[in-house]
Amino acid sequence: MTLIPWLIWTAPLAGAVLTPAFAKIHPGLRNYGAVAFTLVSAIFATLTAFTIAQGDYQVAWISSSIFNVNAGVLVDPLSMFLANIVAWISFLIMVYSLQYMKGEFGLTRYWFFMNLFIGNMLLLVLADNLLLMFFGWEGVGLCSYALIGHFYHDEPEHWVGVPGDTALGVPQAFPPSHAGMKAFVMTRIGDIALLIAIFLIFATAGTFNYGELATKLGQPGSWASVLSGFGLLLPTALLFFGGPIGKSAQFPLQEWLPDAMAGPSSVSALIHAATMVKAGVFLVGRMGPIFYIALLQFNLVTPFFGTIAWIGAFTAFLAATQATVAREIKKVLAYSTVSQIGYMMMALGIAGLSANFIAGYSAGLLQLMSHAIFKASLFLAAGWVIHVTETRFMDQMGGLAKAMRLTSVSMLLAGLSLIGIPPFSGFWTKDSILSSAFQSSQFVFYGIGLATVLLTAFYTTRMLGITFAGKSSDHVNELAEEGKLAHEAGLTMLVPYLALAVASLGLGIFYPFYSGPLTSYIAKALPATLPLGTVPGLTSTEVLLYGASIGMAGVGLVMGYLLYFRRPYTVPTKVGGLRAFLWHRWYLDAINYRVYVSGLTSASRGLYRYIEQGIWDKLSSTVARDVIDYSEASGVLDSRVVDGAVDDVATAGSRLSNLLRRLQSGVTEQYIISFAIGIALLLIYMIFVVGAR
Amino acid sequence: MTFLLIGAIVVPLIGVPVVYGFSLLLKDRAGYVASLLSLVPLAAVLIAGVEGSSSPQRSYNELYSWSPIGTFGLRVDNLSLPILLIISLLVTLIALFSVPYMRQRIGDDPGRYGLYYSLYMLYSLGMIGTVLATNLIEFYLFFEIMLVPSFFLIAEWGYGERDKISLTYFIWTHVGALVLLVGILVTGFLAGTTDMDSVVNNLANPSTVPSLVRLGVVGAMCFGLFVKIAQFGLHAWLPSAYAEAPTPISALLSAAMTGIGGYAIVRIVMTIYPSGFQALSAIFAGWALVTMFYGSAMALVQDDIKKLLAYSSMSQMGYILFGLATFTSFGISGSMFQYISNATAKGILFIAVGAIMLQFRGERSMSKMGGLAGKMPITASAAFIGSLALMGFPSTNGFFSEFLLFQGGFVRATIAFSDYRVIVAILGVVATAFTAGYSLLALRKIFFGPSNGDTANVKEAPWTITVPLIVLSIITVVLGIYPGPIISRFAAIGKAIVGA
Repeated sequence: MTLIPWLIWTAPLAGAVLTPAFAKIHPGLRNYGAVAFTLVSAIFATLTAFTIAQGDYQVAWISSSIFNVNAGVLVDPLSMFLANIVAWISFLIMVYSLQYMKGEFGLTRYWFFMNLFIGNMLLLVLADNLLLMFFGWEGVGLCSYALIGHFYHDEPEHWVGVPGDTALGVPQAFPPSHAGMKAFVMTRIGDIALLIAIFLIFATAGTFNYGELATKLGQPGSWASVLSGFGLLLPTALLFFGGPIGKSAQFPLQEWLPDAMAGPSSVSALIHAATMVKAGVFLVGRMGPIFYIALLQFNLVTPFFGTIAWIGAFTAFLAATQATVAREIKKVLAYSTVSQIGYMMMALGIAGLSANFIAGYSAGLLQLMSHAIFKASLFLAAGWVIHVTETRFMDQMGGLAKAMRLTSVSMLLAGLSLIGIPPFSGFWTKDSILSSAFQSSQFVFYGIGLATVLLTAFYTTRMLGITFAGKSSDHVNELAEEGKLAHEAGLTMLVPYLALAVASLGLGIFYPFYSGPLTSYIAKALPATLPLGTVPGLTSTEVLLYGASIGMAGVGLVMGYLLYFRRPYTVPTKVGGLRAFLWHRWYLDAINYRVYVSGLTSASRGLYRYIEQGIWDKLSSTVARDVIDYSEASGVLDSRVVDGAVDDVATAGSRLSNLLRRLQSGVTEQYIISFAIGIALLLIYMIFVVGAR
Repeated sequence: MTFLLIGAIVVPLIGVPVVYGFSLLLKDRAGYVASLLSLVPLAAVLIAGVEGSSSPQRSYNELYSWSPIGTFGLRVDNLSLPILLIISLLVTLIALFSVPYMRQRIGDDPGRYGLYYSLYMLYSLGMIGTVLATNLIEFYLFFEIMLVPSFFLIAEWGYGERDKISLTYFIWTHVGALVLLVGILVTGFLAGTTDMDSVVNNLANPSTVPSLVRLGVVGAMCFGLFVKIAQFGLHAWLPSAYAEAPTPISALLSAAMTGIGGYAIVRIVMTIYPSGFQALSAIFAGWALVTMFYGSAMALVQDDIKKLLAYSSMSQMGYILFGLATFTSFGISGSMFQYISNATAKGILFIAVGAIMLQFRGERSMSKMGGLAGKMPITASAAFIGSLALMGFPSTNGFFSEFLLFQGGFVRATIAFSDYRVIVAILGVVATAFTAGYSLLALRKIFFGPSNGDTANVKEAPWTITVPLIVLSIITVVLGIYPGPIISRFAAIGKAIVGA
């Protein structure tokens, strides 16, 4: 019975391990086998949620005289909620891949890393301790690196960005292998902060286990008080948050995500919807309550949760502005993800700032669910659009609604959910975030959130308008003349994204019925000592807030409609001022390259030239040269003397055995071999003659 | 009295002329004989390890009387068992790797093969003997035996200015060894013996040795060993020696030999003079940190892949000292585990580089490579795993070794709080970002990107190279998921030294 929770994350990993073997037998077995393992995982996730009791299902892992760690699967509402979202959406993406990736190169590698990705994500969600979680956490990073760089031959069609575009002299178009590396390195910077925090927690608490960490807080001399005594409690919490900042692409580590769409669209969907970026939100959801209790004793709650809320709010706004000028369809969606995750982080931050912890907390997690569903749908549909039009630029699409009715409907439904139009699920969850900000009197966050609603509505409408409305672009017409008419996707691809779009609508329609029970279910994951508060019901304030956010969304929608549905879109020829600022991502990416990449490289170059080559190399080569000169001058190692001596030895030796007679090929060899034999004899003497005494 | 471990010394010794004889018949294929012979030490150590595990001290000893010096002892215990296993495994695998590599390097001269494999056997004997030794003089002898054949191997089959480079290597490490010898002789004088166990007993009372003398001896021994583990300032011999040695020897130098310096610090310095080492540990921690950063920064700007790996090795040796300098059981066990991780990772990476050089006209410049992943899938996958281990990535043994040694840093910082130790610990973790940087950059330059006209015809390496790569990769991953057997052994050693 206890095996079932383990199968959730081990099934995809087993699938990954078996992929190469399956590939040897038959490609079909490999493809369908990979999908089947994800399905098994999803089924077990649901089965566990409904049939397995809450608890920590452990096995022994590492035992030694200095520390012991068990590996365990933690079954609780938070992990079950996440695991089900991750597993089912991943399954749909895998189904989509069956057709989408047909004929691409490196398929064994693709299926291997996709299953590894899903398995690691589930591991990080289900792990019962920080160490095991970190395995999944880093595994996710590795798989994203491999999958973003899937087309590692860097053909031009797989690049991201506009070729030749530069910001501050830094090229802004990236090949897949660069984008993958960028993702890995940037998230790793956050992971280093996270790792430092884990080290500090373990050094003072002596455990990695979430449950024990929470329990130990209540004891005298707890890890929190020890850390606080060193003045390290708040730094530890903030460093811990560094991991989620990197993984979930929050400011200032957000720049990897827009370029991460160099991978296949199915990979983008997986990264943006089901795995990777959701990991950070999950981890804040997992450790946030524990830090809350830890920080509460020392009046440090506000700086920590305030930081989370500020970073979330700022990122939400920052990325939304960038999305309003993007040319590539997947880049719009990528900026949108950064922005939406910002919302979630803001909600989790507000949870700690308000008296109603559960309001912000559940709002953030429910938004995660809504977003996972509609964003997966958007990316999968966009993948098909890109495939059909053979371009990633929206301005080379246009008027696709006629030929791709179902795809455009699907994107419209998912887009409306992203904008937050009732009754889509995106409306409810985003609104509960805004309401949690308002109700806890965090009006600044409320204001930023509301402004972002407008931007979101605008960029989504813009994307839909440029891609699907109006007339077809010249590029699409050319394709049509070549006989490549835009057409609907096959069922294997269509069903996943259409189903997700419809689910986003359905979950919205029924939201009022299940949101209450679901919130109280999630609340059960929180430690009992946490001041929870109560979930506010439907009040007149709430209705007003609905009105305000619908109004803002409406304004953005109308602006987008007027600008991009009613008029043909042309790429602006002159880019300057605010547009250039937004287009170049507020120059943040270029600054990263300028300051960190170039800075570190030139510093290392300087060290190499002036210290390593200038001092150390010179020193040792001078010594070597002097020794050689000295020996030549003094005749100590005069070649004739040495050679003569060696010759004598070798001649003497060759009389002893036939073997040595063959040692005539070169002077040095004789010297060396006689030396070697000498040492050998010396050793034998020491071991047997001296030793026997 | 059984003659088990002595076989691990005697068989390679007998192997010296035997391999020479075989190479006159078999030429390059004498490498197979060397590889088979090297299985004997592996088996001997394994059996000794199994026998020792059932003993109360978890150690297996073979002692031979060795007057007037004392005893000539060979020991397999918690500390030496994992290290010996990995060394003898590497020796076996790299002998296989030498077969195609040295065929290309030597050509058609049987005598030259004989010489290479004879020196190879002698070199392996030196390393195994150093780790087995229980007597300080015996240790020193093997330590020197390790040096001399490697010097000739570089001088004979190296690249570039190999005479100058091998001489630099010899002078630096020899001077280091002599300073170590001074420390050993003073210790022997103070304790009245050079048998390590008796030395520990005789010097157990701190008052036997004046603290200044103790600091001097620890300083001298550490100086000598720091040359071996190439700490910043004493590292000048390393980059060129590693880069210009024939690649199988680079692999042995980097993966197996250098780290023995770290082993010796634990086995000799920290066991005999724990308080002396502790007194200097704060300085050592900073020194190690400088080495970690400096090595990584140098690696970041190299285009020659072997030079990159050389500087990377220097940086990794910094990790080993970093862990030891925490003077905690976590740190010490982490450092010794780091020896194992570095051995597998560097073994993989140098063999992979050798494979590329072999298949791609001896090319070492990364800017001339690209897109090799599809041409050499096994080499690429192994290099990938090796790099991940280097970066300390979970599911590779590198994660647990770095995890332990950094955890040691934070334990040290929080036992008795010190700002300096906190900062050092944090910076140590930060240094791993550089490792990730240069590793990923190198992987990208070599294996990804478009394949150009030059690389179009590159093929996968022969089995003598892929089998070692696969074996080492499997060990890397298995120890990364299930490190218990290694950690429990080293943890016991760490605890015995620190006493907590």
